[in-house]
Amino acid sequence: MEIADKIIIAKDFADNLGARYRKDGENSGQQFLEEILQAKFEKAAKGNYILFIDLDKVWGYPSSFVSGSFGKLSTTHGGADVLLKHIQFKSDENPIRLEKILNEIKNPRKV
Amino acid sequence: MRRFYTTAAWKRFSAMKARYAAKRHTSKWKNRKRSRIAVSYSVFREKRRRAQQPFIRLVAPKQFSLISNTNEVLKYFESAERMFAKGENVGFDISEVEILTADAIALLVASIKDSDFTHGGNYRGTAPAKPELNKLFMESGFLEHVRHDWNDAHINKENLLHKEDNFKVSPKIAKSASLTGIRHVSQNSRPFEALYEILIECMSNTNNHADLSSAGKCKWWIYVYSNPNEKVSSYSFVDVGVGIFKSAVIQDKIKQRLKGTVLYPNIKLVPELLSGKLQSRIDKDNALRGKGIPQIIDHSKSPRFRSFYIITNDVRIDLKTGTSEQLNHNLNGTFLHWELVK
Repeated sequence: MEIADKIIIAKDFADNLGARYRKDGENSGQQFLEEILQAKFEKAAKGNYILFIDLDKVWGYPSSFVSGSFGKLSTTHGGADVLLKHIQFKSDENPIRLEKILNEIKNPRKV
Repeated sequence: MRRFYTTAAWKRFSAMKARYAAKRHTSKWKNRKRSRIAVSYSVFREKRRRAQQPFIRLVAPKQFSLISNTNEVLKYFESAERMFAKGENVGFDISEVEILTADAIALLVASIKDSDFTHGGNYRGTAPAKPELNKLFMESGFLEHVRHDWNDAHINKENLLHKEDNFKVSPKIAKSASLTGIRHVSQNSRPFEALYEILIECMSNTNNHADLSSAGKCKWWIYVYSNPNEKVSSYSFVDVGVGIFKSAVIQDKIKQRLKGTVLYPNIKLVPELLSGKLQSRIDKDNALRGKGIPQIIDHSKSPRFRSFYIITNDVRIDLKTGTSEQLNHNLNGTFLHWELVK
């Protein structure tokens, strides 16, 4: 599968990410999911290509943001296998950040 | 003219006016009016009474630091609140303090600006007499949030004192608070992810642990103090809600009833809180939630945080050592304090 679309979070959304829901305030995980991530992911799954997501140049990834966007997408769109088949991440600045997001996709619910 | 009074529109308007006039003559309407006037008069009378009351001077503990003298400082705030509740006016006298820290300033401003604390009472205060403490107080930004007649008050650009009124998570403030500390300790503007994430989780938890009737309406304060004598920035985050333990819901009904009493003190809930298993009164997506506090605990271990404390209700937790302490006095809300170093 080839990469046919990309999201640079710092450029396409914001470099200062917020919390879980829109009602919590700006730049929330729900806003990112509904405005960017979900539509792009569904297109990638339908078109059978890879969506490339650049995680760099962001101030941080609060767990509530990650859970409200990637975690929520994982619970509603078939789980980690489906998501990771169509999404490829890049994080040159911080490998722990990448691990955190992958872990959220694989285990979106509390253990 | 006569033609107008016979139109359907006029008849409709006239019937509506008649219905309204009839309603105004009912006893329900009259009683409601009377009680509203009585309430507004009683509020006015109470305000007038308060304005004539003398101020009761409340001398602050010599060591005015919430972190190093938690019980004494909380006792001070408890007595102030009791006085306000009794209808007194309070004069906060901090002129004789020998130790003053940024965390106490943050709690003082958050408390006096909270109507649940002052119960509509009036307050005034003094500044510390010691020159270095006076400078710390004047430059803290405290005086920007109260009426005063000091001319030499100004906020130091290296400090930040913010009150959130919109009851929301503010990424803008989290970024600005991060930058304030990072610039002071490292002289650069490179993001420190752990710091930013902690700030967002603190703000987010404020909403989650607000009391049921005011979920999402809880106010929070943040104070970033950059110590001019060393490369350390201290962060104080105050949430004037009900506190984590008071808002927690325990599945076991007996424990839920005994929560906060001697039979089941709040300190017993600390392990559940630290592992993210303590559930707040939010039902939506509960299975996905509960990762904020563990993220804060995890980040607090970073060597860039010299100290890290959570004080909520009657428990103080030192996240660096993993120890918790049962307090003799209560804090209505949650207080987080940490020190950032290079």
